[in-house]
Amino acid sequence: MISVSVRGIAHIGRLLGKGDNTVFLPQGSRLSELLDLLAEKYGRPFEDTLYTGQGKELNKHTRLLLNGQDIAFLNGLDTVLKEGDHFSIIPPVGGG
Amino acid sequence: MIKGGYMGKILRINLTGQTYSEEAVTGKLAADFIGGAGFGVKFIFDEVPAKSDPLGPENKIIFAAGPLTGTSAPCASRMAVTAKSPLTGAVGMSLSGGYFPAEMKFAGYDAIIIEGRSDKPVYLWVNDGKVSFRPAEKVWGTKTFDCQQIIKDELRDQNIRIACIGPAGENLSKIACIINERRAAGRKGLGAVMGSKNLKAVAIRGSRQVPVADPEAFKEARQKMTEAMKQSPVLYSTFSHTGTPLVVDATCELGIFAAKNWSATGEWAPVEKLGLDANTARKIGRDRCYNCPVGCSQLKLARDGVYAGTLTEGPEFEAVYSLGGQTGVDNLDAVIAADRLCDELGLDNMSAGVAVGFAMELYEKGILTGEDTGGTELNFGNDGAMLDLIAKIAFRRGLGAVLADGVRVAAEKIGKGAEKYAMHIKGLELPAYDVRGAKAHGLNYATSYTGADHNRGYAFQELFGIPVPEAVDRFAYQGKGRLTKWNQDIRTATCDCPSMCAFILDMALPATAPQNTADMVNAATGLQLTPADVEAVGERVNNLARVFNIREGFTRGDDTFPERILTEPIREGGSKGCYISLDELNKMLDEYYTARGWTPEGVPTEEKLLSLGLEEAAALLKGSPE
Repeated sequence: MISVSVRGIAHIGRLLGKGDNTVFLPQGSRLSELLDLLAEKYGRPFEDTLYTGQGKELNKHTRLLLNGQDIAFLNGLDTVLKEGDHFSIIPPVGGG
Repeated sequence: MIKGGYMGKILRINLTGQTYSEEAVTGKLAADFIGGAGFGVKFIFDEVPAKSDPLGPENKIIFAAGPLTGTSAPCASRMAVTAKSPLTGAVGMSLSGGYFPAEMKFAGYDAIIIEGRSDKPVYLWVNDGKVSFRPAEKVWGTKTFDCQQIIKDELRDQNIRIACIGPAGENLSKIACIINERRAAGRKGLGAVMGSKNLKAVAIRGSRQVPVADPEAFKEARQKMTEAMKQSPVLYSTFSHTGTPLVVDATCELGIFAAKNWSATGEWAPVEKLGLDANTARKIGRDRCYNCPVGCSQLKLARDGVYAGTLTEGPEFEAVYSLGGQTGVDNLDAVIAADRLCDELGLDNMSAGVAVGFAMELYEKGILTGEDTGGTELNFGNDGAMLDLIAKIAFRRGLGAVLADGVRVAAEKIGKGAEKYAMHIKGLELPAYDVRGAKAHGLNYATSYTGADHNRGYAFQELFGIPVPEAVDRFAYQGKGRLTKWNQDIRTATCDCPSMCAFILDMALPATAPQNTADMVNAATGLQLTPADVEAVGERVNNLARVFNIREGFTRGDDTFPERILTEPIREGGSKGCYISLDELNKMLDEYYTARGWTPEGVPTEEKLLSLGLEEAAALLKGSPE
């Protein structure tokens, strides 16, 4: 098994709980499997945040990062996870 | 032909002779520059002589609203304040919201140009088209909130709107700001320009209605815009409740919350103490600019210790960065108190916090000693020392006198290698986002006509993952030249000129802003701008500002970063290992200049300037050696 830490920001953080959540997955798991696990644990509100409602099509406005990098510039949901990875879910806010 | 939107008049004030006159807003000026920053840049280019002393009588300061300001358009009570900046020597343009911009329109003016210098402290009283110069001895020396109240009482009208300076502006601190209500035209030292003119305040009141050229079309365009705002995934559901402090959490997660004078980004990420939850725990209400349905301003009350009971509007994300992040102060109550203190003293809370963080690092490195600090242990995290030093900056006392002109000048005065730790570009202290992990945003800091300015070409693609015009890898340097040009032109054209709140662009209209601006401005004014015309306004203003800066001596060499950005990788967090090498910077600059149609030295070509209708700028460059 590998452990991956997960953190959500703002309303997503309130859904997942404060700080980092540690999730355990089998070796070789992909990001899609992590999302399935989180969806199972946190249910409909989590799915509504993440997906468009058309199957597992991701909302374009929710930002997903693995170790700080947008998953679009990795291998998307097929990205293979490794021990100690950090996964972040961030709503699209701006401003300063 | 202008049929609405504009009041049609520009008020010109000469403080030297205490005279004033009115000028018409022409159709060409409106179509070419729209308003706001466009008017400001155009006027200082035309009217401020080359190499003028920014604190001399020949500098001018322009307050300019846009054609949507004061109409029923949402989020449009914005104004640009423009002068030659005493902090940078470049174009100084800063935006503010609140109620003053709309009131200026109600008083009958699209812009006010202030020139000359008064012998004695004065304030202007602009009352529905009538102008008077009033003695300001009574309010000279007062803090900004007190100043506003005293003037309201003196003029016996509590509904007057006032833009004023505090002690920092009077003492010509080059990081002084202008405060209207509790909002600020914060950056580039514009408060010192008012101070140099002995102008304490501009008080304004009006009762006129802003005409709209085509009410039906305007209603339709407004409905389209408000619908887009409702469709935003965050604007009402999250942002209006949280305001900008939410960005503390997001930037900490991205590893770009710059900390401790940019020495500890990623290592020191104070989410729990300075982030959203801590801010929400101190929130007691909200505030909003004129006719804003979002209301993102958060009123916060300090709860503990010596700061308990202090109320501020803010601190916004940038103030949390500067007064908390840069100083290593993770006591949000102290940050609230410092935010309030900066507003009252009329100091740019961003530059002030960066200046204090700079001094703290110098103290920890032994470049400054107890002798310099008057015995204060000026370590990172010392909240009391931060507040004390902020006051000293405003009054030019002790070490504050050294920091009052910004970190670039302070580093020159201090010597001993201090320059290495002075975090500025063109003299303007760096904003929050650590650009080592967001390279288009970095290129914007390096090339913005106002210096290190997050607002001129905010890279929302990198900072918040908004995939417009396309998704962007924040760590890559490739493609960032073209993107930065787009970001700068779109923001100038759709936010800084009309004048519209930039949060709406970021969160509701990223893909449709030029069309929205064209629809709204055309319906309000009778102009017939296409979205391409709107984008061209942004390009025109950025080119004209560039030529102004070239005239003042700026070159490609000024489009750069502090040494730390170029050589020190971020050591921890979501952007670990990132920096922008000199080679990357040069490649980005080459791409940016090419995208802009500029020479490899960053000079707009004659062809480019003529294509934008900037004949005077082309002639100016033709007459000067490159």
